[in-house]
Amino acid sequence: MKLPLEYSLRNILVRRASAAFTAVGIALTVAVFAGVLSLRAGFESVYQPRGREDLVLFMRQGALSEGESSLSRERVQILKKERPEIAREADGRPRASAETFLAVYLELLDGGLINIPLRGVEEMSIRLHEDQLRLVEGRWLEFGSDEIVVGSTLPSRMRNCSVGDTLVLNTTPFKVVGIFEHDGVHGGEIWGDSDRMIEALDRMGYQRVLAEVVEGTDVEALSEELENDRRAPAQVRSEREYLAAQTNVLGGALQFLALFLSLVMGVAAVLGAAITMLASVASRTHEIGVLLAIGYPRGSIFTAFLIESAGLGVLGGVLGLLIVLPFDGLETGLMNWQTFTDVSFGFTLTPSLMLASFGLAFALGVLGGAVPAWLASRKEPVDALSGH
Amino acid sequence: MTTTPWSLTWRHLWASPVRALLTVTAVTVALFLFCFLTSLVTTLDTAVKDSSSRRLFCQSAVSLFVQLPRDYQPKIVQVDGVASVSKLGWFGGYYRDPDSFFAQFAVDVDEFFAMFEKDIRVAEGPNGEAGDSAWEPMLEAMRADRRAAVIGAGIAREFDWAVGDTVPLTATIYPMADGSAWEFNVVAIYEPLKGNVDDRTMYFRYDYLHEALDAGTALGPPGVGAYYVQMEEGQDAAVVSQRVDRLFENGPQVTQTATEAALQASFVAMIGNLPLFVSTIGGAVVFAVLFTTINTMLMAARQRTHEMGVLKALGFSNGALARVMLLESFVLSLVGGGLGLGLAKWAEEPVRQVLGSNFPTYRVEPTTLMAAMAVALVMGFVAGVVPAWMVARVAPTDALRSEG
Repeated sequence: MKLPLEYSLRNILVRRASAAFTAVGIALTVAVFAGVLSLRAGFESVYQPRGREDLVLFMRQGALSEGESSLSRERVQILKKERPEIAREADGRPRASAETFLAVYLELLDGGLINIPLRGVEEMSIRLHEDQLRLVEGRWLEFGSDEIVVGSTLPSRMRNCSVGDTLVLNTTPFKVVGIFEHDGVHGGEIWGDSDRMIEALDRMGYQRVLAEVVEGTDVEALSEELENDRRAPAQVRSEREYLAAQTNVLGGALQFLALFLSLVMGVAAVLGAAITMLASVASRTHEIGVLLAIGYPRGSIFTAFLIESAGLGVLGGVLGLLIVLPFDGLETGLMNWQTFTDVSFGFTLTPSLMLASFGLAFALGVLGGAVPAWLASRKEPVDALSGH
Repeated sequence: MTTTPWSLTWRHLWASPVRALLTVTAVTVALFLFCFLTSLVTTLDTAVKDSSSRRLFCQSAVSLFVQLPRDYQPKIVQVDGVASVSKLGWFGGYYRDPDSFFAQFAVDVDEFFAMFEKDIRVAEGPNGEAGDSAWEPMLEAMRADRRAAVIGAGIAREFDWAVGDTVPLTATIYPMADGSAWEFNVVAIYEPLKGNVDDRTMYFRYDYLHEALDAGTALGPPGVGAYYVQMEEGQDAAVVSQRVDRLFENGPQVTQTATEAALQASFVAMIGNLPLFVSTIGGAVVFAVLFTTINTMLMAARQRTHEMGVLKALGFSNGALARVMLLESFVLSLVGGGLGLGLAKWAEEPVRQVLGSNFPTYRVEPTTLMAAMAVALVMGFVAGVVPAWMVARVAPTDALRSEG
């Protein structure tokens, strides 16, 4: 004999205030869990899916990020001209571009300085990312001149980043002539001519060479070969591998934060659910006695109380997701410790994340209800009827 | 009868020990989290607060990563109001594993340590001594050995390094031309005295770096990362900063000079919205547990309706019974709060280890503990006042009729 589902669900309604408090506790836990993880999802989406396997980066050996790398003009020329692995245009030009990279101080609209990546590029950089770059305002820069184009996430947050503005780098004024969109990291960067950047900022050389490799190139073997090259030593990484590595620290920290917080808050939520269910059981001792006396098996009493508790969890899960839903897509800025530059990205509440959050809510409800439900099912009919 | 039956509170707590225990645990967890999250924010604030506003930091106005020319140092020393100048250079090396990150700075020994005399103390000197008496021997050892390095106690613990050890670091910015590692000789271990210095930094001699670069045995940018500038007594920081910056306003590198405190503040600002997130989460946690506690107390009150009716019929005043309920709530939240606070303070060191270089100066401030205690008190009051009011409101006859 099973107790009808309505029995459990109606019990939730009977103790409305108490059930609501418990559900809110679970909801807040779920909201924090989903919120922090959606931050991480947003952060990683900036880096991860855009990197291409056939695009590779040449950097100085030993450098962990491009900011630490340095390649002299001679090395860059040797790499571009002589490496047979680099793909070529129909006219024989290598599909490779020498780039500079520097995190520069820029002023936020509401005051304060943050580090924004300034990338010196060659025309080929734009061609290599053709399928991912979209010009949304103005025009691309004229190479060789003091013009810059700005990633689309910047103008709304930073000073001097709109078309027509002038940005002074060290002592040289640069004119903003266009805004471009890129779903990955480049959308938060400023691009100018790489040789002009070296001169204006008094830099020693380039930071990396970005190149498309011919089909079938073994990047690892190429890297190994070049690391011991006498004339132009370098390390080679695929763009995808490089970008993924740049998210380790912050992505890991956010994941740790999400798990740690939901563990601790989860404990509190389980305790809350347990308290509610204990009270629910205590106040229905008499009723349980009746159910047992008329022949309901202990198992179905256990199940009925567990369902009641799981119902609280489900309620909390729905509520929690309702709390985080408005955050979805909200843009925010955080510092990526590995590149020491600011990254702006949105909360991204993916379907799998919502499912996981909902699962967490359900689990919290079930965990909280397990002990009280077991206690309820162990009562002796006689004692229960007499109210003990 | 107008007395308050305080002993009832005690009986109530023991009447349902499981529930009392659960509630106390929930409050403990909440207050622990509150302390932890608040400490993340105060740790950042303390770094700013403890920073010197008498020490200036002169760096490139363009970027943290653009070096200044070496010949800026003698020029800055000449500036009116400047007492001494030390180079400061980010080395960016790692020991064995790139993920086991810690900071290494190249400095000018005499100038730098004189500036930081009040910010750090020697935990272990070259001959095993500590404290003030170890200061001069540490400087002697640094002057005597080009490869000498002073390391923070945190790194010494993490890598099990001791005074006298030679430690190899792999360079990311300044690789050795032959691909080998840099070697440093640990001559002393320091401990920070203030929140602006962490215990996970290594300081070594700038001339070791520059000589290797000049000789071509190491590769990398040849300039100087930044300059620390000590002002003479009674000088105005803004005025001296301006004098320094004006020297270089036409290049080759434009400078931006500000107090160390301003520099730390700008670092905190760069972290972005993190403090906001942390505060929001902390608020959510406290609320969630507040609900749990209120819930428990409401339940306790409802179960005791009958008992309260009896007491009222016996002549106990509403106020007296309300006080009994309030006290129960206060006991639960204060015991839970106390445990949470204790846990947070006790876990300070383990948490610092886990957070590593992200929050090397993580500390639970006394003010945080006080704020947490206040939160526990408010929780106790809010959770107790509603059931107390319910008890006061109910008529004895109704209460007696209820089967409880």
